[in-house]
Amino acid sequence: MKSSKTAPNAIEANALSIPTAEEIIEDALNELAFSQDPGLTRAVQFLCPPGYQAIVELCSENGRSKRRTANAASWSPEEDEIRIYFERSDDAEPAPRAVRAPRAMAVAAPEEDDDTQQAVLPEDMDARVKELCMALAEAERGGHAFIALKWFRDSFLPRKAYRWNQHPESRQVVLAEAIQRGVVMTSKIANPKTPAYPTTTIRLNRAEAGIPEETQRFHPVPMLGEPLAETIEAERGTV
Amino acid sequence: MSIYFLESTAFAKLFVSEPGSDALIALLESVDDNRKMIAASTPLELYAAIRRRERTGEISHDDAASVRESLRMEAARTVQQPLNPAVLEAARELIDRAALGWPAALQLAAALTAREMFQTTEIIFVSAQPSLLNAAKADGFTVFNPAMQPEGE
Repeated sequence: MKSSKTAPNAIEANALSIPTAEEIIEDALNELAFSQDPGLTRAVQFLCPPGYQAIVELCSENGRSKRRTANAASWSPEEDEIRIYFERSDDAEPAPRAVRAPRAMAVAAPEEDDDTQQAVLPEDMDARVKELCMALAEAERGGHAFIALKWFRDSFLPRKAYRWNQHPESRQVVLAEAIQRGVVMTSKIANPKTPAYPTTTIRLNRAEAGIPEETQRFHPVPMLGEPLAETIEAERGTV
Repeated sequence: MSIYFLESTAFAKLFVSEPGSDALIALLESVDDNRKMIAASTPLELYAAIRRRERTGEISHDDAASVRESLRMEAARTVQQPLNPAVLEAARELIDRAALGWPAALQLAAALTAREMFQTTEIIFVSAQPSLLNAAKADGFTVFNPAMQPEGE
C-alpha cells in the first residue's frame, strides 16, 4: 500500500504498543462522528457510522494482525495494512461475527445479512470455549475494575498458549460462541472519552461455565480500640 | 443498576472488622466491580489511618500488612474518581454551604462529579460519617450507612 502522507512521528510510535496504537486510531475514528468539518461529512458515514463502534487492527502485508507485543513503529504505511470493522454499540448484543477475508484498507460497512458468511464452527469448539473461560477467570483475578471485551480479546487472550488464539478472527468466533452459550456475559459502561460509544465489558458466568466462585473475597481483620472510621474522622478534624 | 460510591469510612469496613463490615460485604458481594466507586484519595486516607493504628499497637504488624495488601488489590479493582479540577471546585462549594472539613468535602465532591458524568445511573453514597451522610442526603443522594444495619446482615 502506498501512502502519500508522512510517516507517523517515529519517537511517539516507538513508545506505543500495537494495541495502544489501535486504540488511539479507534478513538480518533469515533471522535470523527462529532466533527463539524463539512469536508469530512461524506467520509463520516463510512468511517464512523451512527450506532457502530470502529475496531481497528494493524496488519502485516499478508493481512495477519501484528503481534500484540510488537512496537507500533513496526507498522509501515508503505508495506503493511490496516483493517477497520465495526461492532454495534447499541444495547443489543453483537451477533457472532463472520470470518472476514483480510483485505487491504477495507472499510467494511456494517452488514445486516452476515449470516451467509458464518464460519463453520470447529469440532473442538467446546474445548476452545472452556479455555477462553479459564483465561477470563484469570483476567478477573487480575485486579481490574472491569474487563473490556476488546482488551480481553485483543491483548489478553493472545498471550495464552492456545492453538486457536493467534488469529483475531478465531478469537472473535470463540468469544462470540461463549457469549451465545451464556458462559460469558456482556454489559456496557460509560466511556467518558466517547460518551456516545460505551465500552462493552465481559464477565464470566461461573455457574454456566462450571467454574467455582472465588473464595470469600473480603477478609476484614480485627483491631483493638475504636472503629477505623472514627480514626479517619479524627484525622479529618472538626469544622 | 446503581453505582455505590464508597466513602473512606465505609470502604474501611471491608478491611477491618467493625460494626457494619458484615452488612457492607453482604451488599457488595452481589455488585460488579464496575459499579463500585471511590475517590482517588481514599486508598491514601485508609493507608494513613491503618499506619496510625499500627503505631499505637491496636493492630498487629502482620494484620496491618495484610490490610494494606488487600487495600491495594481492592483499590485497583474499584472505579476511581480522579481528583480533577471539577472535584476541587465542587469541594470548595461544599465547604461554603455545609459544615464539612476539606477531606470530607473532597469525598462528597468526588461523588457529585461522578453523578454529573453518569447522569442516567443512580449513585448511592455509602459512608459511616453522619455529617457526611446528612450533606449527601441534602444534595439528593440516596445514602447507606453500613454501621446502622442490623447485626448479621
